[in-house]
Amino acid sequence: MKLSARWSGWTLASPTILFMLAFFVFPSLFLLVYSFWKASSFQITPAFQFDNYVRALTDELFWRVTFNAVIIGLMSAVVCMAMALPVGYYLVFVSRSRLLEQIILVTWFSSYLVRIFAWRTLLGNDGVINTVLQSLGLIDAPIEALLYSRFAVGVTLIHLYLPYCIILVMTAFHEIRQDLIDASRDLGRSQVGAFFSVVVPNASAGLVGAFMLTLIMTMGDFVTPQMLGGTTGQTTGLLIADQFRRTGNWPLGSAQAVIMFLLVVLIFVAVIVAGRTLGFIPKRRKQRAV
Amino acid sequence: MTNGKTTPALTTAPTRRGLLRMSAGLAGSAVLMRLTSSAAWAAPSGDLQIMAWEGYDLVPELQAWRDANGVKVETTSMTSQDDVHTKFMAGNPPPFDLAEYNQAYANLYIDQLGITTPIDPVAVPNFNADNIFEQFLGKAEWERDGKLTGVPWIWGFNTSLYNAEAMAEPKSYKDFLAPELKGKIAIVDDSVTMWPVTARVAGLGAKYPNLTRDELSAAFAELAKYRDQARMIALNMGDVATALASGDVVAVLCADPAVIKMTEELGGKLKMAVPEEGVVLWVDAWFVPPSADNVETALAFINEALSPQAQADICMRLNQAPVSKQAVALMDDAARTRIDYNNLEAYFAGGLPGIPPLESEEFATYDDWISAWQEFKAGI
Repeated sequence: MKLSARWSGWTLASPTILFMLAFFVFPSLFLLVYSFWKASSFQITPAFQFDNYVRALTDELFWRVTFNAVIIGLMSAVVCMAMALPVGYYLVFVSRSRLLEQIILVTWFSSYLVRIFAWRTLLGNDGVINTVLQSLGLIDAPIEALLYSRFAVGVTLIHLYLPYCIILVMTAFHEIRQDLIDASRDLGRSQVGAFFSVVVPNASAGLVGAFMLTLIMTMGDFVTPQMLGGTTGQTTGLLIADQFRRTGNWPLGSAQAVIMFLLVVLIFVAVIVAGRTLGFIPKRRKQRAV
Repeated sequence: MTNGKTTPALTTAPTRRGLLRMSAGLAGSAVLMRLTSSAAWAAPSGDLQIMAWEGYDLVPELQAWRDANGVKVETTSMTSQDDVHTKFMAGNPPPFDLAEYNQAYANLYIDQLGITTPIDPVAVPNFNADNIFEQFLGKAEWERDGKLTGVPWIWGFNTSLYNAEAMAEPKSYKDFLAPELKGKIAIVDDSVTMWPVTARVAGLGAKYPNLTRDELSAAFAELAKYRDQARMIALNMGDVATALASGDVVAVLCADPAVIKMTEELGGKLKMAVPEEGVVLWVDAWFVPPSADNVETALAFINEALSPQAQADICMRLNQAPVSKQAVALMDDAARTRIDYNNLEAYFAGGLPGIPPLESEEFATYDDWISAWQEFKAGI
């Protein structure tokens, strides 16, 4: 029996669809429903009210911490993209080296926590950087600002998520035919010009995906800021976790999570609008009926 | 006879796991035996699922008992007390046979959440006045209406820890505010420990946990001075031990003395100091949740945990204190002299700290304290 292309597609996608339904869509719906419920003294009761949203949206702490998370996420994502674009371009269009790709993947062989502790070893008072600087006579005392600071959080997040970003950028670049770049160059574009007029617009969907995924992962990371942020490690993720773990106020935690989700959607829309305005993302053309 | 006490097993519906494990005949016999004689509790056996602090599941101490009875213990480690009640708040609580609660959470667990079940003291013969210090008997933290809701089994206190080579011994928490210690101290993200300290540094320790909202604000304003002085708010004990061993910080405001051993294992040196504001006591108790399906073995486990030898062994291993009087003589000199066991009243004179009220018009509630703690950590 030969399946139609449509049914083949459904069949191939069905495991993923079922998985996402079970472990993303339905839990997200539960979260949405919970966000309208009430909680008092660890007792949760069904209701339909907006008190949790009002409380979250008028909470200075929630906004300050969320703003902090967005700034950390945006900075990390921008730096990751700035570093991933030339590397991705080089690996896809210049070198095509499988070895370099494998080297990038090697960084994933160690665990997330091990890498965080490795940065502690590098940045600490007795760490590699301070020791080298001291032995070279460049500093008299260890630079304490290296560790337990926003700098430490930023450096570690970039280290953790840069490989993801590079792989995603490479995937986006793989879609672009070399002929298009050559044609652009034949028509007088410089290498940089060809990159921005051909590569970026054609890879825009993948590049936006790489940026957003890096942003979401760095924005939502609450372990790195806690372990390396010193006294600045509070994050929205921890606030939400506290509502579920410490106060038993699942409805408020759900409302905060929904707000965070909507915030990410808002950032996504803003990135698309900014990309179209700057000409990096081609505007959709309405298809005319023939 | 059960002396009229309802055994946990009789109040708990059998689960699929239990049904699969027991044949119908054996189950009938066990129920009949339980109804007729308290001494006829079934022998411990099978799987025991427990939730405990890392290292507190008595793996080395009870190995012989486990081997002799064919008991297999599966431990889920908890990193904070919140891990326990979060699991039981879910619609389908996990089938733990045994878990731990800190005395501060007694009212929440017993009265509010109802996640403890009565424990038949006959099944825990080591929990008796000859073996157990009086500070742990007949207290509201572990009893309701004359029924045992939890069995206290280990205790200790959190206090200031410091590197004697890097600073002088602190006599008060205020000593940590010395200018030369700026950026050299750590605070642990442990609300059960830090909330009483917060009240104490503001001179409101005697009122804790019943502070008004204004007093709460004043207390956290005072604690903010310590945050400004601190280099890190550590995630947990391991986190702070790493920072102490590497020399990134030289002291921790208030933490479990178990950190001393952890720091020493990492090559650091650490001493304990008792500030004039006092230490923060804690007592951990075993409780049997309603979802337990191997109650006999759970109670036998508790009983073994209270045996003088097991008590002595685990307290020496973890630098903590036993609830068993008889265990003191079995400990080495270092463990025996760390605490004045002839003067335990002095340690418990200030009472055991609880958590703030869940609901109150007059006092700051548990939610208020959580918010204040979150703001403290966010630098507000």
